[in-house]
Amino acid sequence: MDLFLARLFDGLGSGATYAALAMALVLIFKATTLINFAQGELALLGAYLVLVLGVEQGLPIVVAVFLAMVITAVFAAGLERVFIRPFDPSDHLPLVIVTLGLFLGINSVAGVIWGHGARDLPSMFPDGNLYSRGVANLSWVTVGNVATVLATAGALYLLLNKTKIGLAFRAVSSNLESSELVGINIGRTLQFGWALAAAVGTLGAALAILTLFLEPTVMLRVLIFAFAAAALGGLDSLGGAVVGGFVVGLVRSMGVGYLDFVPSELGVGAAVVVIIAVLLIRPTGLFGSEQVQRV
Amino acid sequence: MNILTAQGSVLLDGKEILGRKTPDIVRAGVAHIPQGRGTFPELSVIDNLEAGAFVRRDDEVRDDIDRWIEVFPVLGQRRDQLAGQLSGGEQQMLAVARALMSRPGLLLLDEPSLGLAPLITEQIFETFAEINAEQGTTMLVVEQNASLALSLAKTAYVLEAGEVALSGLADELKDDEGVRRAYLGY
Repeated sequence: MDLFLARLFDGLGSGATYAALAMALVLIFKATTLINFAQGELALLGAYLVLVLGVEQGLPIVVAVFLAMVITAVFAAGLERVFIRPFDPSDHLPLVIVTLGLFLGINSVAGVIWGHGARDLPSMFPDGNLYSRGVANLSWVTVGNVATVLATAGALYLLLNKTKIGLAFRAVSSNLESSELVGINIGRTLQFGWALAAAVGTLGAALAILTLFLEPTVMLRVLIFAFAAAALGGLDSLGGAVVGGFVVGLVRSMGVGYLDFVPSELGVGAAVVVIIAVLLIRPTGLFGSEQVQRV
Repeated sequence: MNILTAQGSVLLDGKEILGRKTPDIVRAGVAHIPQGRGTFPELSVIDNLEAGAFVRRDDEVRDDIDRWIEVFPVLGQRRDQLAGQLSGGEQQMLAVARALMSRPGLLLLDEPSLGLAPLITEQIFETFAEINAEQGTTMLVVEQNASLALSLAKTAYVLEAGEVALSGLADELKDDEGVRRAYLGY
């Protein structure tokens, strides 16, 4: 029982970080049906900014995270303007290549600036555990991660459904031509999507770094699970991304825990299994909208 | 809108709009209902109407939504349904209401009868006439159904292979022997 609880808490904690990054992926996918491979590296950049602001400059960690979110949002808006907007939004292959290029570019630059050594970030949550039972510890970090992700999902829901820019974002997601016909500036709305996704991704990275060490390849390990989470949730559903994140986190911790023949190094395989299973059994994911075209 | 290459001149209230960006033209008071309707399939009926008022900054958007739901009661019954789930006729009504939400001075309609049952088509055209009479909204309608279009329009142009073959008051064109034989079929 203790072991089960330990795995449950572990899965929820890591699942929350997958959920945060999956939400960032979903935001871009909703708007452009594009998978942004650079999403994890934007988040990595955000995590290093937290390091600079919170550790080197000594700002309070919460302030550092907030500022890092703002800075990566502005940076992502600039990337969108320079590298994404010149391309035809309906032709995906060139755009995917561009995001792969951004992925490599940002990753290398981060390596040059901050080196490849592992760094540690201070926690924005209290140390210790909320609840302990044998080997099972529900740490404040886990509770904080889960609470932050749920609060972020709620905030995004309100932003998208109750504000004018949110309406524009959903309109652009639904139909580009109609959006222009009601006077929405598509370029600027997509830019807003990139900024928003980068901010959410940075928050996700700041949470993920609480249980991992910050080094230039760290987001790769989170990103593959975030992809699985987003695919499971349906790629265009924010709520689905959250549920998907927790499910993938649990599948990973339970899978590695209970399937003795799976070495923990193969935990990443859980993500691949989830992605393939979703694509085979239910390509629209759990909460994704089916692409229906009325003629 | 979004014409890639164009020559000549398009004037709106005497001002050149050729080459201007679509959102700017919408702000200048033009609403366009493209062939194939131009709604947002993944948005609810209410959100479609709100999106239609995107360029407006006044606080009467709610009132206008109520007003068009009164004109098209079916939109009120389906207010929370996704636009993509509506029938063809309902989608056309939504497209019209969505366009009117921007309070346009000029409404462009591209084959509003496309894919609709004759009865629905007639109903929608009657609504156009009512809106035109009540609001004074100018409407430019491209329509294959010549008799229906001519019965409601004031001025008409007959296009043949991209050239204006005939133009004049709709009532006169309707009675014109040549038009009747070629386009109205009697």
